[in-house]
Amino acid sequence: MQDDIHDVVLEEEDGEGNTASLQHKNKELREKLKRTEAECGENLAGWQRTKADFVNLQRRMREAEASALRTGMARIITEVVAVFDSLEAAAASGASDIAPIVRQLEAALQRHGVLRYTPQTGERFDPERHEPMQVVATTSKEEDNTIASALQSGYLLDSAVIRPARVSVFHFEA
Amino acid sequence: MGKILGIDLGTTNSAVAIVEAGEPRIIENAEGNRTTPSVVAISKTGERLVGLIAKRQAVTNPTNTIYGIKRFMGHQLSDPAVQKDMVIVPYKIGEGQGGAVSVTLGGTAYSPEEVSAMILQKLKSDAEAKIGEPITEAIITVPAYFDDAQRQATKNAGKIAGLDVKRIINEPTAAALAYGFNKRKNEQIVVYDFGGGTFDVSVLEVGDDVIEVKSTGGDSHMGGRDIDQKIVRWIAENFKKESGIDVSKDPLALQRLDEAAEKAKHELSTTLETEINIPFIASDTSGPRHLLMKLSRATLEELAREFVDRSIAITKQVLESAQMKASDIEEVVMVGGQTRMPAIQDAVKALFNKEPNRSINPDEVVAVGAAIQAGILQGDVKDVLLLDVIPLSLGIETMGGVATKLIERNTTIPTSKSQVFSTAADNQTSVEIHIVQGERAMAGDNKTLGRFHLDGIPPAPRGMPQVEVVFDVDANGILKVTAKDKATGKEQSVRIEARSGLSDADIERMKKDADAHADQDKAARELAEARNAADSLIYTAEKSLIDHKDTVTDTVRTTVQGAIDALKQARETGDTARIRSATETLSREMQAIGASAQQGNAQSPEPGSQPDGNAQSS
Repeated sequence: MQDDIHDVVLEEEDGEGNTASLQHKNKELREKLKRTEAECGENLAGWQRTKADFVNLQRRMREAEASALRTGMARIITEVVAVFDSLEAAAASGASDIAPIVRQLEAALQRHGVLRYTPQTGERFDPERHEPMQVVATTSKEEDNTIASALQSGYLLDSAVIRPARVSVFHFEA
Repeated sequence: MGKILGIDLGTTNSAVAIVEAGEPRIIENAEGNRTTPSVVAISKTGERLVGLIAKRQAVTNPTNTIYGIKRFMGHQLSDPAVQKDMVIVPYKIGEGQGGAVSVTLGGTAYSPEEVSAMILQKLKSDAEAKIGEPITEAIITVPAYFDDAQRQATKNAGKIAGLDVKRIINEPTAAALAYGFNKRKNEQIVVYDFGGGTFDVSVLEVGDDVIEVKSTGGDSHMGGRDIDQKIVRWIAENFKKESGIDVSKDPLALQRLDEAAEKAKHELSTTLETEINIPFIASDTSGPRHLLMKLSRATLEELAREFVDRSIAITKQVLESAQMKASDIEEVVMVGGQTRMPAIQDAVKALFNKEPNRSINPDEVVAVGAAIQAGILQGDVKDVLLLDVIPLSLGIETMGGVATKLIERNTTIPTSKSQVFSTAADNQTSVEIHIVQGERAMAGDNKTLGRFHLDGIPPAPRGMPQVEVVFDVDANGILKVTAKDKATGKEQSVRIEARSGLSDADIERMKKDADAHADQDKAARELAEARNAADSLIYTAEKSLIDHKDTVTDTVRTTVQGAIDALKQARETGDTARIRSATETLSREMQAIGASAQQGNAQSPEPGSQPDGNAQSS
């Protein structure tokens, strides 16, 4: 491209602008082109570097994510292991009351933002929180689409359902 | 210009992907899942539900829960396929305009396009929420066997959902695109798609930048769910034999069985045997009963055999109708979660006598391919920004002959990295920068790219001078290494041309070498590090003895000197364990120096643990 510029034939212009000033202008333009090309190269290099940095960052993020996941898992497992210890102790002592262990597990999960919930009979069925396992016929219109019984508890993690409660739901049949 | 969404609008599940910074990425839905059930419902309270929630409440609301709408897209009510399917589904199928299919949802008749649009709308708005910008354009995939009416219906569904459908592409084509096979020339590709509820197989031909479907076939009612059902039945039957209890009538027990069956199936993709353990599954007069049984991969394969065999038979037919032999096929692509099953992979491999492609998540590969097609349309990837990666790590030799990597392999270039190093001996005035390339732990086992010296470092105790080493690789792979003494500002650099004459085969060999020598390298590196730690401690110990010569008792001096000599001896043996133990002994004995020199004059702590001397990250 630069060659094109060098090949420019300078034509005499009428009136203003003599050869000297045109040559000056030509020189100026050539310098400007040089500057622009340099700038263009710098911009491209900068763009490429930013993109490469981004790609490398993405990869590091993936690695960091995997390691954060492991750390989080390890924390939960430490809690669960304590429950295991209790179960072992219970088995060794021949105890049959598991209520304290259930409380221990529940508290452990609660510390990590997990909440256990058990729907009550008569509660309105909500597919966000309840997973119906079966429908139970009812002759009462009011009972239609309400919880007949809770079969398994549901679990929330930071208010998002991670396992809906398993329920049976009333279905009105006239 | 906005982003174009790639959508895999599936019969059972849908997925969405987008190209970001040249890379396709699956977008999670609002519930945080990477796939969304293709289910739409109107709840009893009149709410429209789409996805997981709609699927969940189906039991209570079967007539107003629409799944598998894709089977009705672009069909006339009189079509035989529709006549067959309409008796299976619990929702009501009727006749819409011009003999088309219509479904009833919450008392209103909808066309299949409108129902699909509800799914697309959720996919669209969830994606918008995730990426934080409006999306108006999409590419949607359809099965290769879809006719014009079905494709047009899919396009209309997009329009109703507020999406300008830039292109409808075939699912197998998208899968091939995801693997970059569109860049091949004159190749035949088979796409084997074993999904949750459908099985499709297609033969593709890649010509000049065009992928053509040569033939296609399948079974629209065979999928992974059938295998799950068979496992559930197998467990229930065995439990009945064992305990006399029939759990197949208990919906909660069945649900627990279903979950256990799916888990077992997944696990058996990597293990040979799994335990199915469901405590308190039922109870009878004798009290609570637990379900505990083993399921082996062999048994699972026995259960799945009829489906696998059928898929292979269909694949053979499709090859035949494309007038090809299995040996004509250059690449095989696996799609659908069920293809994770080793028995399926083996069967496909045996048929084609080649390893099928399955490196991309088979549940997501179609959406990924759609996003790639979108990226091509968008012109997202400018040529100048197609960046390379360095194939082998780059680093320098540090104390004890250890190769310290500055830039890890597979790093995208251009990039630069700097680290500060120091001297290994007192009053060292020059450092040698030995640049190496490769994955081996010891510098001597890697390829030397160059060496140079940085002189004129002012005399100082070891570990004190700071020499910053900068590695810079430009977009063309040219490496520039600069070493700079931070105290004097003196610097020296070298430029090394890209590749340095390494062929692809060389690179492969070097990578393999590193794997093969991993254990040996680890041992060598540990020895070098142990020696470095020993050197460093001997240096500190000797210096302390001199520094505290007035206060140290003769007993302490003798013990410490003895420990120093023992460590020096151990150092020469090349026995890592012995060096480490002698180092520990010396370190313990040295505490006596500090104790006997009780004045505030306590010796200044040695700079860090300095294993390889001197490396501290910048």
